[in-house]
Amino acid sequence: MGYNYVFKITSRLFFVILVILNASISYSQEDDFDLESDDFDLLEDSSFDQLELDLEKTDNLILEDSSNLSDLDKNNLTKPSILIERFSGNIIQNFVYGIQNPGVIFSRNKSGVERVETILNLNYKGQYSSQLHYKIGASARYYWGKWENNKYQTDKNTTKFNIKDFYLDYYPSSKIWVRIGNQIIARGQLDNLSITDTINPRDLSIPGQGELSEFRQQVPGILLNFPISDVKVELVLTSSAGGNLMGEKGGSFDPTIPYLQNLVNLGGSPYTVNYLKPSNEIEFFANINYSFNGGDVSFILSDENQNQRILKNIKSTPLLSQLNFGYDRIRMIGFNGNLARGDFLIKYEGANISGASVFIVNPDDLPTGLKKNQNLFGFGFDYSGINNLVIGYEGNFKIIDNYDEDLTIAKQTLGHSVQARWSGMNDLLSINANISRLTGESSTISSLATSYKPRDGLTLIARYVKYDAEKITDTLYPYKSQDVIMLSSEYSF
Amino acid sequence: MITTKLLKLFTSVLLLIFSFTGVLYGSSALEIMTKVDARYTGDSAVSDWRMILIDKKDRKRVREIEIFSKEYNDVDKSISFFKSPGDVKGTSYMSYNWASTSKEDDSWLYLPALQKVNRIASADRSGSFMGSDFTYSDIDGFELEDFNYKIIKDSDVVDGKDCWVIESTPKNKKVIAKTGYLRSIQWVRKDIYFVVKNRILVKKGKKVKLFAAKDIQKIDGVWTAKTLQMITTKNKKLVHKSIFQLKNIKYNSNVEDSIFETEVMQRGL
Repeated sequence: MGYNYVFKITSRLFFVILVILNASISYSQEDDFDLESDDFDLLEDSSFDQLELDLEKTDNLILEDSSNLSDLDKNNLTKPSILIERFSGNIIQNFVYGIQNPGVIFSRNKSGVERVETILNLNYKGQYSSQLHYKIGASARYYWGKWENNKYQTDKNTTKFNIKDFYLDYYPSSKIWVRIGNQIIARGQLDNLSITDTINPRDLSIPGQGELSEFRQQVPGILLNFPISDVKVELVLTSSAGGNLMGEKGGSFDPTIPYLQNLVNLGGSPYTVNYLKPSNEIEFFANINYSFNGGDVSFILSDENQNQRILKNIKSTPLLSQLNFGYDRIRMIGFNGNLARGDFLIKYEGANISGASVFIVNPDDLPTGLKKNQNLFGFGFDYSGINNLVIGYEGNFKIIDNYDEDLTIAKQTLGHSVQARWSGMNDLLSINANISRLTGESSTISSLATSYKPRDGLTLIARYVKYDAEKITDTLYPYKSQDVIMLSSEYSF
Repeated sequence: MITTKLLKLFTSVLLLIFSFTGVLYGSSALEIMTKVDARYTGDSAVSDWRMILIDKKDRKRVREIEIFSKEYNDVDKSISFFKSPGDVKGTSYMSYNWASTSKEDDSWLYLPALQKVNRIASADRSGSFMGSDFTYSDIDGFELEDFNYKIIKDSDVVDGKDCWVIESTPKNKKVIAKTGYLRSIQWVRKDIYFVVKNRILVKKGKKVKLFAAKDIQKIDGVWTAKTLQMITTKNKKLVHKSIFQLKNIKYNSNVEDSIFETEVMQRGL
């Protein structure tokens, strides 16, 4: 990684934080009160008496008006409500514009509309009894066009349907919780460089551009959560969980592009992508959690299929080649936790992973995978001591045991992520900046987003996402010209 | 703790309070505020609140919240569930407010978009609670011993009730940093030791906040304000206003200990 590159990334990071810091400081810097001046006596100012009287009149109008907002009787003070059986959902409209020419190997081979999509999410949550609850959720995603023949074709629209949360909750007692069905089980502490949060695969088909609620993918499984003394035990069994979602062939993040040269070597025939099923579809996770004043600590064991699938082989005939992506079966023993101290929330994770492949450079053919034990450590913090601003940092560190010099990655690698979140105007406006540098690479994903809520349930979002990579071996190198500007609206109900 | 919080907090409300030097008026400020703090607010409560947020252009946002709270010997616990509107539905907030000053309070936030419970750093409680004019400090309550108190007027009438007017000032910068409050003047009803009105000088942004507790009734043996409002002003003009409107409450109901767990935040009620 060259000095210029480090300088560029550092400068950009500094700039983004400076913008947000400035927003925070400007917003609140209408100066603090000076206790040595008359400010201290301001509370006795008689003009507040009149203000309070004026406001009281409007309050009465507001309260009368709001009595129609719900069918609950505001005078019924003896009957606590119990929420249940409610619909919820949202409708999201995304307009995404690619601001660069990504190159001829992509369907979109010039700057222009990257995609226009409408997403509808619907959920229904109900209960059969106090011990048996359920949730049904599904989504439909409508694409308003598609890139073909060097053009965004608006007549090539498609729709995708997905089952989301779809489960039963059973409470045999107040302390035991069983959930059966399609579900998300989000664990771990680090948000961007997580190590132990591996139960749910992730949507990496459009890194940095997806909705937060879409990032983790539901898996079919059984969760059992129960306490033993002061410790909480959680056991999870999943089946056919699948892997991280990858981009489509020809799309902006086509996962086959790094292997195009291999295909040329094999004859350059047309090719297809195939995702192999794992030899064992069953995955097991155990989590033992202890909470104490100011912190949590968890220990994790798992026997699972690694969510990030790798290229296992290419089967080639004179007419057609097939790229086969498959899973590594891994075992993990790890820990994670947090500590809240003052304005800091400190987060940490660590794990030993066995069974994951690391590749050896093979100039004549595909890289060859070798199973190597890997040790990963992560550290992060959120600092919330500045007005309306939270600054976060995450770093992780990977060490490969029994290292071979001809491996494609270094023995020790680092990853970093910095983020800043500012909110103001009574949470109507927020700005979020994030830069993540992938572990062991010079690949970075940077984003700057602002959101505004003009009314209840409605959020307008503008986001800029930038991809960088320096070396040809970097994961994001083929995609470094896929920078986009996104405009979104989300209505929740 | 939120209900007992919202009640105590507001009730003992913005328990910003005082200490007094003298014996000018029979009771000292500290004695009065100690009684305010000790006023019975129920051992547990289940309540429904409507939170109305109003900006200076009179645009309203309405949130419905259900709150469970319970007092223990060493800690007050509360958990609140946001039921509407859609963009906050499913969000929950839980806090443990420890009696011991050597322990920092614990708090967690669950965001349905992430389906994940996150612990929150606890020192700065001066931030807005879910976009309202109330801060997390307001919601979680104040420590009586964090402030000095002084009676500045022995008698003033609010809503037809005789009140003491008491000034409270933070004892040190740490309290200012934690609460964001520099000074407050409170009106305490003499008959029931209830803070019915409060003016607060806020450190950030040269703002003054005006608190009022209205519609005070005795429910299940507990004096309860059915309407709580906080108004933020700047240069003596309205900036933003929040109103908590009590819809239902049941004191001393059977609130199970197991509801104050992070798993309950995840799975909802």
